[in-house]
Amino acid sequence: MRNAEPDRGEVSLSGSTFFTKPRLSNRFIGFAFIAPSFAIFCIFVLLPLIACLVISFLQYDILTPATFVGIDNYKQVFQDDRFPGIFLNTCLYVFSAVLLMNSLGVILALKLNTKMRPRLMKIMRSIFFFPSMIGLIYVGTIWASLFQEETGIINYYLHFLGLGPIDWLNGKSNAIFTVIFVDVWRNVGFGALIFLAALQDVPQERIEAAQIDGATKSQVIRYVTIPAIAPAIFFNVTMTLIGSFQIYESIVVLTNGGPGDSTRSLVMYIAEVAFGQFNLGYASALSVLLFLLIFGLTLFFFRLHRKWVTYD
Amino acid sequence: MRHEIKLKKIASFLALGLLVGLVPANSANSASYVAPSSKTKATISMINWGDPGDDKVYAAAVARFNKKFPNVKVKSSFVTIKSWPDYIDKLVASVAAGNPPDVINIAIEGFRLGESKGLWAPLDKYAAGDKAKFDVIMKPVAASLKEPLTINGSLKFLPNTFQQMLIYYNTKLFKEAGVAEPTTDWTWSDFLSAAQKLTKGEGADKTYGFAIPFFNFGLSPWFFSNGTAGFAKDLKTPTFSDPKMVESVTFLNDLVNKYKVSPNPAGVDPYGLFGSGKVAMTGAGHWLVNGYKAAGFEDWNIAPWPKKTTQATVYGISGFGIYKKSKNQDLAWELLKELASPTTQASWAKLGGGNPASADAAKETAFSASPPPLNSERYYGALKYAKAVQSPAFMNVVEPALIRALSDMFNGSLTPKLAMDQVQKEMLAASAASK
Repeated sequence: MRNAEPDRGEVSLSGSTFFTKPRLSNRFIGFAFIAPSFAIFCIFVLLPLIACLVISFLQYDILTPATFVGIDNYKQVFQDDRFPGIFLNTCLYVFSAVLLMNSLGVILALKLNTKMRPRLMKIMRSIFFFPSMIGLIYVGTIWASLFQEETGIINYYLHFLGLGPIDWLNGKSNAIFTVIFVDVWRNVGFGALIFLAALQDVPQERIEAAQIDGATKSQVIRYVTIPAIAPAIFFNVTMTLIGSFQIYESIVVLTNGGPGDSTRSLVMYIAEVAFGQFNLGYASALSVLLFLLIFGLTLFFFRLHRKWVTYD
Repeated sequence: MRHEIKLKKIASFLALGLLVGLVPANSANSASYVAPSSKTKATISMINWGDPGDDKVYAAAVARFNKKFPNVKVKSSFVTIKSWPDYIDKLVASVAAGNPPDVINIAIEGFRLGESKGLWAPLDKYAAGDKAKFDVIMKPVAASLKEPLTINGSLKFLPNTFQQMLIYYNTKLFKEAGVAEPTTDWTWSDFLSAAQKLTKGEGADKTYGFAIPFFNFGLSPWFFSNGTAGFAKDLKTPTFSDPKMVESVTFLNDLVNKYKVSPNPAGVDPYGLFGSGKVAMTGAGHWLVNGYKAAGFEDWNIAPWPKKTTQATVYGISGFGIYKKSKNQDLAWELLKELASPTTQASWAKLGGGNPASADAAKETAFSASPPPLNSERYYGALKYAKAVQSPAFMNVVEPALIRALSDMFNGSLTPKLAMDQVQKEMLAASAASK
């Protein structure tokens, strides 16, 4: 829709409108508005990204002069015995988090979207959203104390049921699922809130029409509700995908990556290589690869979403 | 004749060479040191670590320094640390950011790591030139504590405090179980027998015989008391796959998985469990004393580490060094003398977090008068048989690799042999990368 008044360089001349270059003062004002954000972006995102890319071709330990090593740091990825296991852990986190946070989030949102007293609705929303508001370190610390094998309250009550003790944090097969559980517990409420907002925008007449046509409750959800909130699902899937690749704090507090490397994520490994081993070249190479992986997957999701997301 | 002249010439050249080579070196070491003027205006910085409360000792040393140099501002940074890698990270970050401290307080774990990065200034010229004051600091220090302060023949640190690993045991639990208290020459089998008798109950009511201190310093006594170590004497060649190392970790694995006298140490706080009476024994240094006393926990005593082949334990010392590129090295030396002075050592004795490096301070009443433990002389006495914690130039990767492999051993994912082979492989790579 075109504005009635000439705008942003549009000039009305003898009744005809055509585009011309914006005046210099207008351009300056435009640049001035975006300058602070752009400067922050350059300092904290763009420059570190470029630095990371450059350092990935160097052998650099912070304290001694860097030396150029070509693609040696990238080659090292394929010779690193620890990398495959850590990469698989990260993939498991991402897969579980994307699947559970979104499916449970949709289920929670559907439950919250039923007719409910407004005050109760507010309370329920707050309860589900509350974990997202707590700092990850606190969440991790609280759950770590609950999951302790010897002194944790969970094993204490399991003991009364004749179960356990279960080594939640140090058992090779248990620990990773404990971390996934805590991560999903913390973040599922945020997703549910996004889905709930989308659900409240679904036209009621569309649902009623489906019901008049004889659709069951599950058919309404499958064929009407879910397609209607598909943009919100796509948004949340993309955000959880990016976020899950960067899982760090909760693992540090819960298991510190152990036992062995069984719960270590790629971001945690990058931090260890960079600031524990002072091998910034290799850490940067890993970071660049992680960036490319997330970037590639996000692009793939954007391409894919055209097939199953419709915008009304 | 010509031959004779030639020989004379060679002899003259040799003599000249000796003079050129030796005289300056000698003069550099023995030239008397002249302290900076008390009117000097400057700012120097230092980084210290410790438990909450230790900062007061450092602040007192700075105050004494400022009495001599009132125009020198000392910027002090104090870090409460949980692990050495955290502290080293902070130190490296400050150096990398172009804001390196002039005076660095660091433990033995970081000595060679810092040396490999060229962090430490040699202190030999100060030790020689300011000999009288240097001797006051160093004479009461045990020879074994002095040794790690010198790297590649050059003095790099003045001593601060030290720690050693001893067995802490709960006297009440020993008495209740009818177990005789440890003797000074007890063995691994005596230890196991006691741990088995002390392990009681089930589930939430279970009391364990021993909680394994799960970090490199805490694990080292098990290696040393079996006549082995993770590295050869050169601190470059890893020997983790040595059969005796495997035997040592097998013993630890058996404590957890065979005899079930110890909880899986990964993620467990041995000192919390010991303090709450949930384990009868653990291993620690002097750092526990203040906390237990403050909490009113008094039913404990200390014993030497049990031996397999030889009586041994581990010790580690911390020291004060000067940053190699510091522009205020003479002032830094003056501050170092205060930080390592007998007055500071006496303060450590009173405060009681670490053991004062000075034997004189360790004998002071404040350090030993208020039991427990009844036998506090064992702290300093352990130095007679203790070995310095092995700290190669790539120390930052030793502990993570060891803990990763052993946590996999304790949960049954790796056998002791495979766990040690894994550490060996990683240490070979780390050693090669550090060259």
